[in-house]
Amino acid sequence: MVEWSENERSIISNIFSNLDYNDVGPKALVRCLVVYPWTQRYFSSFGNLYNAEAISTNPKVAAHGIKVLHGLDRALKNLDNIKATYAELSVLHSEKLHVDPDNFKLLSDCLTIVIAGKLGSAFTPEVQATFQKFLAVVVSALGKQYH
Amino acid sequence: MVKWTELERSTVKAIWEKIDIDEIGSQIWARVLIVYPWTERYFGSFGDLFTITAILKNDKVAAHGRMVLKALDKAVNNMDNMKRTYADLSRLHFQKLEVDPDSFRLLADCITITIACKFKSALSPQSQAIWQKFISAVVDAMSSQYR
Repeated sequence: MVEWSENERSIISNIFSNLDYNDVGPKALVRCLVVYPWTQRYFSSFGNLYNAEAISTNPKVAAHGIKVLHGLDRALKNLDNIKATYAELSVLHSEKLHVDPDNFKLLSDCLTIVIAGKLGSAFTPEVQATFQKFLAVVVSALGKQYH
Repeated sequence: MVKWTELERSTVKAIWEKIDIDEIGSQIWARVLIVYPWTERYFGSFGDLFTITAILKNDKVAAHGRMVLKALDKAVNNMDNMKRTYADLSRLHFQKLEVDPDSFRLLADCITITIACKFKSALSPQSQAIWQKFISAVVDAMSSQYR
């Protein structure tokens, strides 16, 4: 089980409590689709993803970004049990959605860049380390049920 | 050889022109050492790296960051010839400094995050994609003399 210090818990909680999900969620997913274009293969039902402008203004991308970000709430509320918390979602991504688990890291990297952009100098090395630890645990949990 | 479009060349140069080597350079190593603490093994001669505060105040860490960014300037000005530009540095890191080439990727990620903190929304998804292509090419060039 992953250990979290009081400091780490409060850093993670602060990041999320000041987060505008409707802004950050879409931005993270847009970045993922633009920076790592092969990820677009999972979203063929989303319509126009032909260029960065289309992706940035696509309402389905935005909605899905918000949904994914809210998915992180579960980890936030269950820091001591992230693996079990994401077991079902992991099965879903493996067996139904057929998502390559490498992509979880790509999206988490893009989310890190968006949060860095939002927080600016408040995204200190210590905050970065804690946030990356949090995302790494989530990414690992999402990959756990793959076989 | 990596191919660069006119847009990619001008985007990389535009980002680079806005980078204050002193300001950004002093942060990049602090992030690497704090977020990926095992990298401290390479800096035994830097003195106190025992706490986050010590790392953030360490002058040698800051100076080393500036040195790395000055070396990145060579890549910006030799985008069509990065492998040859970095051949000597690559050999140095391989044969003399014995640096794990994975570390180049960790540093590249921290440079990108430091830039994201500074530029905020000015580092658009498209700019991020181009910057990451550039920095990946640098990482490849730095790894090129490893056997």
